[in-house]
Amino acid sequence: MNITANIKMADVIIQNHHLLSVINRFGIQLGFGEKSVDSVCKLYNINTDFFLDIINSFNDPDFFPKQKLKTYPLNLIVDYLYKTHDYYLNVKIPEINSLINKLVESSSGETANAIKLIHKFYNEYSSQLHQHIAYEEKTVYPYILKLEELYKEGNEEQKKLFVSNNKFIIKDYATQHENIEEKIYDIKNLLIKYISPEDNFILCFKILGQLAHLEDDIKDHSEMENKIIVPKVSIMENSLQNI
Amino acid sequence: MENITIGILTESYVISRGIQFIISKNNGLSSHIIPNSELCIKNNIIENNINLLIVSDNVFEEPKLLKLYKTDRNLNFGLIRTKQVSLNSMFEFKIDFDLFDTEGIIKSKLDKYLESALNSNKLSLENSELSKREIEILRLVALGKTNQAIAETLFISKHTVVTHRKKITAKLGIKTISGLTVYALLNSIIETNEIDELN
Repeated sequence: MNITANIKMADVIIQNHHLLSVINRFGIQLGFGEKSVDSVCKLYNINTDFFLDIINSFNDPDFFPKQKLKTYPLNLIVDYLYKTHDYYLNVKIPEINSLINKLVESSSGETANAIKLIHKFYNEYSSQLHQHIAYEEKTVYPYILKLEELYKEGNEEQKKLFVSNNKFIIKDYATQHENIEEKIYDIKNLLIKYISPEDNFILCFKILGQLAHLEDDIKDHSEMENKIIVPKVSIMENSLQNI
Repeated sequence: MENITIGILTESYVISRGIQFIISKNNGLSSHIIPNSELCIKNNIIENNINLLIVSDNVFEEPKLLKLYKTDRNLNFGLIRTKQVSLNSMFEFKIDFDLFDTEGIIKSKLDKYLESALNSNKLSLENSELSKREIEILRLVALGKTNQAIAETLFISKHTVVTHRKKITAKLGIKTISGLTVYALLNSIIETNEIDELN
């Protein structure tokens, strides 16, 4: 079912509580009473159409309105991606980390050693994610925002100057996501196949559930970057280079 | 099981949408409608990770589709028969729908396909023990050796190393070097102190 503007926001969350993490990214707090999605978006000064496209793509894996998403200004999308990063680094990653910690502490013998290894792998993954995000926020996103600004409003001279000062081409960056997704897949795989935490299986299930959420979320995030941002930026780059 | 993603390509949006609707009722299956006007079907397939393409007979007879059928070995084909002409029997279709199949029949044909896809996967899982050579290569990978170094150590070509590595990943479902290292440690293929020595 597609979520539409006039559905009650409360019903959206009741129907799929995983969407809480998405509304949180938009800064929306709970307590929206009987208000519709549209009213809540207006209250928080959020573009309702954009919100609906994002929330629907989370709610239904088959929903990804590529053409429509391409019509939004890049700054709107980038702003959303910044918030998503914040959610990964400050909520999700520490949350999973503390769960794995608990699992290590409450295990003993061989199992504890095995979980420690996976914990180390997870830490490696998390520092790679930190690095990747830092690179995007310090280099890629500012570049994109500047490019869009010039593409829309810059004069010929400014554009030429930008091209000569920027060697960075968006395609180089498009291929970098894969490894990040692969690692989280491997962690899940190793936990499922090779860890048998006799007394702690509920904790282990929890970790797996959280990892799967993060994996899905990151997939969605990369899809947005690779299918929306990269093609849009390529068009702008080409146009600027051809002046 | 590897995810199955279905692409639907017919000359009629109504037919495509109908098939998609029925497929969506089957749990865990995602599908994309490829517009008949799509110029580069191949890209669309890659972009959406499609591994089963359901096409109508009219469209299948077009040269671009025949070429795709002959060249893309990883792609499975399903057929929707919309006219009473039989296609050359040399073509192999994993699913064979008729335009006038009932919802129940379409569902059962899909279920049958899924079951066979699942079984073929099980088969590979049961035979997923690593060979001695693969363990040897995994050990060197886990110790951080490059393909070139592994080739030189074992007196084989770099190409052979790559082939072995692909097989290892396929058998274990582990894709990254860090993941393989953890696997090797968990299964005592390498010891922690060997890695500590490296660091």
